[in-house]
Amino acid sequence: MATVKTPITELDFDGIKSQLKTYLQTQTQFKDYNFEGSNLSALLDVLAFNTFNNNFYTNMAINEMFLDTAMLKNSIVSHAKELNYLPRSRKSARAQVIITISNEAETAQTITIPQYSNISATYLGDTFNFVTDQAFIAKRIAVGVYQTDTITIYEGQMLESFQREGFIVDSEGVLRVALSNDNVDTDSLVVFVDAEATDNQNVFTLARDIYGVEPTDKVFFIEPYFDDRFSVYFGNNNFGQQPEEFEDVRVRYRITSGAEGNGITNFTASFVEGASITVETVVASLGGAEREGIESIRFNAPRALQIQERAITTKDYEILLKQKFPEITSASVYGGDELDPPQYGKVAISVYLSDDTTIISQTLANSYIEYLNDRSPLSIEPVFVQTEYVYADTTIDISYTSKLASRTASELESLVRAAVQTYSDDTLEDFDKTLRISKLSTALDAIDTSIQSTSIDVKPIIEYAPALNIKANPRFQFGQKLIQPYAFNIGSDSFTGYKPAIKSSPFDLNNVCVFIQDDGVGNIQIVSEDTLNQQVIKPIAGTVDYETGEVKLVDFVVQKFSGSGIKITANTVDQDVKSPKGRVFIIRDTDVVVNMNLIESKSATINTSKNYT
Amino acid sequence: MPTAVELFTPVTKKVNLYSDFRKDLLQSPLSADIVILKDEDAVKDSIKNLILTDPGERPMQPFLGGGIREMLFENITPATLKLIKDKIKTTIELYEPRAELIDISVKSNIDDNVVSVIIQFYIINRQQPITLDVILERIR
Repeated sequence: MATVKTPITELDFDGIKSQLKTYLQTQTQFKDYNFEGSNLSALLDVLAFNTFNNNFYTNMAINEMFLDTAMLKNSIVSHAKELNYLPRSRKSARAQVIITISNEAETAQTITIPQYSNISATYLGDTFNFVTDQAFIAKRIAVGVYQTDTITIYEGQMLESFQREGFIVDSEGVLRVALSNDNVDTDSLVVFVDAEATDNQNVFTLARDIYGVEPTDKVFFIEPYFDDRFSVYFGNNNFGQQPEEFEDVRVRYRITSGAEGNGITNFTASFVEGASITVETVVASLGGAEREGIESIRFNAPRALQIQERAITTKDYEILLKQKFPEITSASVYGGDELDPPQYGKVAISVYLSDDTTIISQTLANSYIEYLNDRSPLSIEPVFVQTEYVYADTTIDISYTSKLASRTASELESLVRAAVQTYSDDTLEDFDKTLRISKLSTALDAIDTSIQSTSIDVKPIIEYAPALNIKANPRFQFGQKLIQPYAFNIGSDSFTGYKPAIKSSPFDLNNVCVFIQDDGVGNIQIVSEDTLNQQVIKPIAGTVDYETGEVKLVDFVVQKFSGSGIKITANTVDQDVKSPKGRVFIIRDTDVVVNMNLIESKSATINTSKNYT
Repeated sequence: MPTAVELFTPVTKKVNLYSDFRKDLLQSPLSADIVILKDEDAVKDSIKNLILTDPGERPMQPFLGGGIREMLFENITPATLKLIKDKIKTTIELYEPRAELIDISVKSNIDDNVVSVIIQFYIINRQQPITLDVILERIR
């Protein structure tokens, strides 16, 4: 009996009880272990339950001990704290506005808009409050009319804590202030020590690290507390001044609705009595974000430790930007030597927010650069490069059968277009992405059983919006090998059937509608759009490199173009289209052509036989 | 003197098919070991345990038990007695495979505030019927 090994591999109740029964099979004294009514079975239940409980608690405790396996947010936050990582709190959406105050009775040269002035907004049926984070001056621009520059306002409401309930003094005498609200935007924290309730003196400011902090500096630090709350603590007279035990510590902060405050454009305000206030939106609110989630903390905390708030490699820049600015979906960072013309000693930064915000405002770009300036090496200067895009000229042929069609052709086409947009949203819309034809084709095949086959042809489009009537030498990099056509020979039927590697949409030049195309030997020519008398207007307007996909135009002048820009399309060797460096790949619905081909009933029979050869 | 037949007939030792301990872990005064319930007694004790157990009482086995204790707070009517009988029958059939039921009799003794249950059953592969008396009464 003693030699029999009792298996100890099971962790759940039934498994453990079964193992105990297996053990009892080796003895003859008590045989009723298999009958639920027996006293022995009742004892086995208790033993198995106790073992199961121990297993559960041990498993939970060990899981929670490691960042990789912890399930509870409080545990993950605690591990992140060890890595000196501060999980992101809720973030206020911020909007850029110009405030105009009209008050005929006012004669002063300026009007001061106080700090924390409230501005209201209604969006999708909800009411939001925005506040100014500092005082602004509105200058007189006409009699009784005062206007600010473009200012930033933040979604949320200012709260002030006068309570001492949240104060904790631990055994080492370290004073902490636990913030009672879990909707705090930690960027808005201001701490006052031993100041009157109405007094803004003795202000302590947030320190993100201890470098350069003197024992007498008035700084505070933040750390995650628990249940999504944060606490404020001080430097214990080593890394910052420590308030005395009974000094009154007040904390002022903004509570926010997070991501719900994004996209707001209509604001109203009435903070100056007797005046009419107009709020003009320059940039709609963005940047509002929820608290950092469990998986995000698990991913970012070790990486934040690696980069140590310093931007050295390109990945460092990307991680820092995405950490600080939650509105950034992706970032592309590369050396200034790759810019055209090269800018040595600089690092180029482009960011992608969303397909609703394709142009990044100068103010926003400045905020990104300002943040990175303090974190990049002394000799490296970050420069913002406006985000560029590559689109896809997509032609989709769908063959479908009427036998299995539960939907009409137009319904199917709508579904195909929706599937293409979903593919673009989920798979593309980022830097360095590749449109895989087979993946898109699989997604389209799965839309409806009536779809028998799909054929997809994709050509990359780069859009160029030149300043009108000004000579320029633009360069476009498709970054892929192009299909070099046969050499173009001017003749009567030379345009018929010619398939250029590069072709543009029409634009006006000297009152003639023209487009550009390559000539098969590496030159870009300008050709008239007139179908009856088509001719080459300028045989050499630039060059194209068929190996690298680089197009250079020389002394290029445009008189007029339609739409958002001239579309330059490339015919690439690879069917899968890759986004060139520093460009975000997007499929626009306007660039998609869907041809629905109905297969006749005879050929629509589905062959269900299988060959096993 | 033993007869020749008795001498050459092997003596069979009775093998106990079922054995359990008492739930009060009573100690034998002779051997100082715990008392073992065998065969018929083990099955009777098991049935008694089953019908007096309430569902949810045993850890991780939420459906085990007769659940008749809750019935004791009902008015004693023929319907209640029938319900008690059905519950006992179902419980034994589900959880006690060693017992083959013959009859269950549930009678009320209103004067003493008790319900008397008499269960008659066979143990599988045994021929003698066994009777088990259980008195159900409220403890408060």
